Parts: sequence; C-alpha cells; structure tokens
Amino acid sequence: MIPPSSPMRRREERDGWLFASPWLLGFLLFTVGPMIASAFFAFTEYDVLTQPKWVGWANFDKALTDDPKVGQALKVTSIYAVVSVPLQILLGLCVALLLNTRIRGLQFYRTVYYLPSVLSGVAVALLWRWIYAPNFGLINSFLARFDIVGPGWLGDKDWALTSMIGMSLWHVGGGIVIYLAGLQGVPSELYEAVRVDGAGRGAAFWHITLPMITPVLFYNLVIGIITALQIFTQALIMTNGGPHEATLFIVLYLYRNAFQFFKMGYASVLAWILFGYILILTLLVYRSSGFWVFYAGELKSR
Amino acid sequence: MSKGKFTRRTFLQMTGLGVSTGLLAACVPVAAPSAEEAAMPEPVTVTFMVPGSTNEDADFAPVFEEFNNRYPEIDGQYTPAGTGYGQAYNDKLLTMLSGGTAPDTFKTLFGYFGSLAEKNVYVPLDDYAAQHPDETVFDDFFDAHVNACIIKGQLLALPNDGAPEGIWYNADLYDAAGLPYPDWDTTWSDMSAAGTALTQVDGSITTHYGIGHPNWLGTIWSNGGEILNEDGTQCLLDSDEAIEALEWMQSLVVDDGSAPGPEALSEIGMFDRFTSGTLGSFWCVRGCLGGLRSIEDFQFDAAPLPLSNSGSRLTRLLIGWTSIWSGSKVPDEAYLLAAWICSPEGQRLRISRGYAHPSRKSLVEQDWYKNYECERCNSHAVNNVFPEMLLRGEGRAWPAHPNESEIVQAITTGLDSLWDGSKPAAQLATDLTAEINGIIG
Repeated sequence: MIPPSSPMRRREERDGWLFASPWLLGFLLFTVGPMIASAFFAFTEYDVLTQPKWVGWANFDKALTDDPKVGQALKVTSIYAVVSVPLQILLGLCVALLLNTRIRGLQFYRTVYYLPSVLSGVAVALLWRWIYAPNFGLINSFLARFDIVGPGWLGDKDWALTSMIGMSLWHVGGGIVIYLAGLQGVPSELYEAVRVDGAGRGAAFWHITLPMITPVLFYNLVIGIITALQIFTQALIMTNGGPHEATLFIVLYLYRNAFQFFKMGYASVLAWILFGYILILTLLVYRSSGFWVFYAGELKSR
Repeated sequence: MSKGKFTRRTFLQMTGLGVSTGLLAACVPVAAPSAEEAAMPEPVTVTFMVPGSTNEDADFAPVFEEFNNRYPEIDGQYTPAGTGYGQAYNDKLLTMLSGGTAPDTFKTLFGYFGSLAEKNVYVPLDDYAAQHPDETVFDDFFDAHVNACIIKGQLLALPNDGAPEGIWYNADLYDAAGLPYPDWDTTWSDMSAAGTALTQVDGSITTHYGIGHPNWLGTIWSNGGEILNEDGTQCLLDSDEAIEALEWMQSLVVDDGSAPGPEALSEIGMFDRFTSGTLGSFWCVRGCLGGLRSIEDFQFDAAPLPLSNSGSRLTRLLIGWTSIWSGSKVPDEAYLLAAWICSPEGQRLRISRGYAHPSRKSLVEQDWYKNYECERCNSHAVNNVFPEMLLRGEGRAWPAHPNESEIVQAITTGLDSLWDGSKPAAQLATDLTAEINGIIG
C-alpha cells in the first residue's frame, strides 16, 4: 500500500487535478461564474448595456405576484414535463425491451432508433413543422385517408402543446441506449431462477427486470425532468410561444426578457425561479427513490 | 532499455523541437518593407455589420470596393452577421455591444432603434452631417426616412434604405377572376371583395386564399388610428379608428375566410404562399422583389396600399438605420463609411441589383430605378408605386420608443386572438391598451 504522504501519491494527486483542470476551469468560468453574476443581476435593473441599478427584491416581487406570463409559462412548462417525461420513459423502455432480444439486424435497429437523438434541434423542429402541417402534413394526410380532418396542430391553441409533447418522443433514442445497458446488466441467473419457480414472462418482467433497472429509470427520470423543463429551441422555431401563448415555455419567456426586452435582471430572476423549481422536483424524486429504486447488492430494511 | 526505442521522452523532445521551430519561423518577417512602404500609414480599419444573406453580401460587395478606392486611408470592412433579418441578429448585436466588440457602424432592425438609443449606443450624427455636407447630401433623403432617424432632436442614424409597404398581387389570378387590378383608388372594401372572389376551396381545404394579412401598423395608421400618443406615454389602440381597422383585418380571416388563419399560416407563410401562386395578394415591402423575381409561373405586380374607410393610406416604413457605435475608436472614419453607404451613389451600387428601396429622392428619379426590368412583372408599377407613396407623404416609420420591442411583442401575441376570432376587435384593443400601458409604466 502506498503511504498517503509518499511522493508517488502526491504526484498522482497532482496529476489527477491537472487532468481534471480543463473541466474544472470550464465549470468555474462558464457555469459557477455566470450563476454568481446572475444571482447579483437578479437584484438589479440591468439592460446589459448600462450599469446595473440595485432594485432589491423588486424583480422577484414582480415575477411572483405581478406578472401573469410567469404563471402561464410555468403552467405550460409543467404540463409539458409532467406528460412528456413519463411518455418518454414508457416508450423508451418498451422499445428497449423489444431491442433487447436476439433478432437479426439488431445493430441496425438500435442505430435507427438512436439516430434522431443526434440530429440538430433546429433541423428536427423544421421537420416536425412539416409533419404537423394542417393540409399537407404527414399526420393529417394519413388521417385524411380515413376521412378524418386532423386539427391545426401547431396553429391551434388547443393542440399546440400536445404537438410539442408528441414531438418530444422523437428523442427517446438517448434513453433507449441507457435502458439497453441496464437490461443487459440484469444477471441471467435471476431469470433462470424465476423460470424454475414457474413464473411466466410477465412475472419475470415485473419481479426481476423492472426492479433491477430502477436505477436506470431513476436516472432517466431525473435527466428527463431537467431537460423537459428547459425546452426552448422547438418553441422558438416552431411556434414562438404561440398561439395564444399556449407554448410559452419559461425559458422562451426568459430569453425574450433578456434579449428582446433588455431586462437581464428580470430574466435572471426567471432563471433562478426555474433553477429552484428544478431543484425542488429533483429533490422530491431523490427522496422518493428510497421507496422504488433498488440497487443490486444493497440491503435495505423497509 | 534498448537504444533505438522510441520513448515518451523522445516523443516530447521531438514535438517540442517541432513546435519551437514553427514558432520561430512564424516570427520571421516575409521581407523587410521598402522605405516607401514604411512611410505609408496603415489604413484605418472601419467595420460595418448588417444581418447578411447571400443576396445582401453580393449587393454590398461593389459598395465596399468603391469606398476603399475612394478612401485609400480607410479600410472599410463589410462584416455580415450571417444571421438573417430576425431576432438572431439582435442577439448577436446586443452581445457584441455588451462585450465591447461591436462593429464601428451597423444596421439596427425594426423594434430596437428606440431601445438602443435609450442606452446611448449611438453616436449623435448632427455635427458630422454638418461637417460633411457633400458626403451626407442631407436634403436628398425622403423626409419620412430622416424623421425616423431622429430621437429627441438628435440624428442617431442615417437611413441606408427604407422600404414602404405595398400590395403585391398575382395578376394571373386577378385576370382569371375578371377582377380589376388594385390601384390608387382601391379601398378596403374592394380588397375584401377581391379576396373573397379569389379564394378557392376544395372540400375542407382552402387551396387558394384571396388576400394576405394586412400589416397591423399600416392598417391602423391608414384609418387615422395610432398605437401610442406623441410622447409615447399612452397607448391609443382603443380609439374608434384603430378598432375599425382591427375589425376589417379580422373580417378577412373570420368572416370572409379569404385570408389564411393561424392554422394555415403554421403550415406555409404568406410569402411562400404567394410565390407558389396560391395567394391573391399580400402586404410586403419593395425589397420583396428580390425573392419574387424567382417566380416563373405567373405574372405579378405591385400596387399601393388600399384606401381605408377614412379614405387615406399610410404605409409603414422599414428603415435601414445605419449608425455609429458610441464605443467606436474611429468615429470620424466610421461616419465617412456610413455616409458613403447611405449616399446616392453608394445606394445605387447596391440597390441597382433590384433589392431594397432607396432612401434618396434623387435615386427614384434615375433611369436605372424607373426603368428596372422585372421579367414577370405586369407593368412598371414596382418602380413607381413605392416612391410615389413616399412623395405623397404616405409613408411613416414606427416612432422610436424605449420599450418598442416589448410593445411589438405584446401586439403580435395579441393578434392571435384577432386572427382566430377568439376575441372581438374592440375587446382585443381594450386588452392590448391595458397591457401596453402597463409596459410603458
């Protein structure tokens, strides 16, 4: 064993910091630094071009009590997250289960499902605009074959958010890869054991597969919530928050305040509100994980 | 360790040697300057930024070539933002301004001139214009263009161009329907009737819309309405004139079904509908000709805006505000560049290719402008309708306001209710007035 104060240990420690330093520097300069600046600007009236003016809690007061658009943006964002994240998890898991079998061309299918995840957000948004086009779009053209007149999708205030949620399923490929890794990590002897006990496929899935991949589900849930609450590009390109602010997501509203209205201080408050919201939801999910996430090798008394 | 082995140390030594050699080589001057070259001062670099597009880049190339010939002591550099005419340009400009890296001269887009002026981004140009009367040729600008560049009595930009809005119509569709082309006497009622006559429906799908969305600003102004009072402290959208204008706009979509609603527009925009031959007419500036020239399947033409119910018209101008950044280290040279870009000759070099609308009275009188040949145009109206509206005093730019981008956003969002009929025009006007008064604070 190498003693803690030996030259080799010290050199290893130094090398460790050295190798980690690019990320650390980036984190400090481009994440922590802007967060500290944003915390300061939240208490100021700041237009980026002139000196910030201290206004105390006024920006928070306005955002929390006097700006109905904040409520609307949080409502829209929350609905999007609450519906799209479970759907993404469900669909991702289903596809991963299908891909976790020994079929011909498996690599091809995996690639096909993952491919959408690596496409640029702007290109995908433009593609979906065509898919959702009311008269000539893919979906309504298909519905027309059955004499069904499809809705206006993005142009209809009652359907615009639903359309965005539907579009979010395009990105399940990233989750599928993680589910697949989780599924393949389930020990085969567990399946053999339940088979010996006479359990069918459903029981094996419910009692073996699902508990064993709960850490993966937990990870995808947390990441999914964080990603969903930060949706921006699709709304900016496809609907610009409309119609009737039906797709006014909180980050889009934040962006407008910062870059369109020159209200960087107020935008900072919105950023901190979003941060707090994400933090609370993430902590709740973490808290709940004790009841439903199972780590192999971990013995817990309930 | 064997002698010939390529070790990590050898690799590092060789890499270090290579890098050092490269650095030393880079430091060696190519050749010593001659005495004559050494005596010549380096030209002062002045940068100019516009949103930029393939068309725009080609248009500006001769402008800068000629400027650099005329002013060898200045190196005028055209630096297109490459963002297109949208919010991305404003984002880039704002980032550069806040980072202290803004170009010496640049264009400002609609909705931001008043906001940026409030933040002292622009150098006042009155003294420069007085010092350089020959370069500025101030009296040659259209009044409406100059007025749009003055805030609180200070000239903060020179108008590089400024497009009034007119009607572009599909002449083939009008001919097929036996309708007279829109002209100087055409009224809102005439446009409504033509819109209805030109609309074609196939089952549940409207294949051809007769008319596009009228521009809200020009329509309200045409009817005698205003968005804000003179000093910008109160919203006047709830006036009878403004409400009547909004009602007419709404009737086209909701009552007549002759203009595309929000759902149809989410599919294909007004400009693309027109170029595809499925829109009878639409509101657009003269610069739209740049895109419309690609039309091959039908004849089209331009017409003045229709007369409102009050019998008048007032077209919105999109000004090409060309300003000097207050942080520029070379404002004198920057002014010469800005003045050149906005000069009659500078504009001619750019606009003679067919885009944009000059801000100069003298240019619209010149043959190249009056006789511009547009292959698919039905007449020469594209060359005289737009300047004629300006000369008649029927053009006006949005009055600069510190909150203009927020006001414009509120109105464009509010118009969703107008186009889908979810709010009567009067209710919308009342709601918007309250919202905008809240913004103005």
